[in-house]
Amino acid sequence: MSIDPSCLSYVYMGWDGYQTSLTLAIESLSDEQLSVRTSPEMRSVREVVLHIADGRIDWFRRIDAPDSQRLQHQINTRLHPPTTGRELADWLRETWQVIEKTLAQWTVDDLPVTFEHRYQNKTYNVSRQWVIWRIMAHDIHHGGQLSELLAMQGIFPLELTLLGGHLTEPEVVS
Amino acid sequence: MKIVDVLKADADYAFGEVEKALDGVTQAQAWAVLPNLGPDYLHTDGCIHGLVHHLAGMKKMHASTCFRDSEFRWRDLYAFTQTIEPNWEKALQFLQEAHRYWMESWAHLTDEELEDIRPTNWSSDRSALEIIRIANQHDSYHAGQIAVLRYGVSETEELPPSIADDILKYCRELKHW
Repeated sequence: MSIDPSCLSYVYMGWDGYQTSLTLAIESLSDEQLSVRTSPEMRSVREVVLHIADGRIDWFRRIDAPDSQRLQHQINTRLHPPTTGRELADWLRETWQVIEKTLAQWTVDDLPVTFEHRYQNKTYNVSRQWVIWRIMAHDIHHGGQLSELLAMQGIFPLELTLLGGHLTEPEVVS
Repeated sequence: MKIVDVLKADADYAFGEVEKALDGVTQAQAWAVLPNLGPDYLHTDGCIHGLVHHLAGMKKMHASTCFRDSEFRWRDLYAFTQTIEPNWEKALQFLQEAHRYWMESWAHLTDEELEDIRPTNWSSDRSALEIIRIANQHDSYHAGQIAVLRYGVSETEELPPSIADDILKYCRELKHW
């Protein structure tokens, strides 16, 4: 084994592959394809991708993850959110850097650290473990949504759909 | 914090996502197929009923093959599925039972045992850690699909595609049949 088993990069190995699946799935989509939604109250493809990327920063800043405050400031001050497939893919890559650094620098011993989070008149004691899993699950959950929104349009991204992107680690064949 | 406890917490969260996505889904919604414009998609034919069977069947097969000496095989899944489809309530019960079976199958593992190489029902052998991680991610991914499908499909009384037929078609030649 080449990395420390207690390192979060080891525990959450495969997330990086899923990030690649997401990025490649949306990078070359047209404006029309990015605008598709299943019903008026549901997010479009574009909105789902932005929700994935911004959601990463919104939660990782709460656990003071490396570089997260800088990107949160970027979100707070931007005049226009990423719109095209290319811009959205770049934003996914940039927000991924925060996750990658966190996973590389932290170990499982860092996970029980908690912070207080106020939500709907209740105060929760939220651990880093909860936040990191929540955001990985968030990526994958909304990636599942994207796979359906794209399948409706006859678009089957190689990694996210046809290679079973839900498994994150395609089988080695040779 | 033990890695195995991290995985258990992750598994609880992921299955919670599935339950949340399914909350309130009716049989008529679950049977409705979202027409996609491409090839057969993950053997689920694009309906919630199929996805629930897919998730439950995966949990049973993962647990059995990876941690329980293949006590439950693809042919058992085929036979059982025939007895309950297309009933929606029974599909939901199967999912709950399969999740308990899955969680119990690796509850006893230590962090050291997570590195043990185990057989899988879908490809080459993998470490226990990889197998559990994949199973957790699997729940999250399909929970997202269910969340889209429940708003993207109309209700129908038309029977959904047979899952048992898919199992026979895709799994009869597999090692763990």
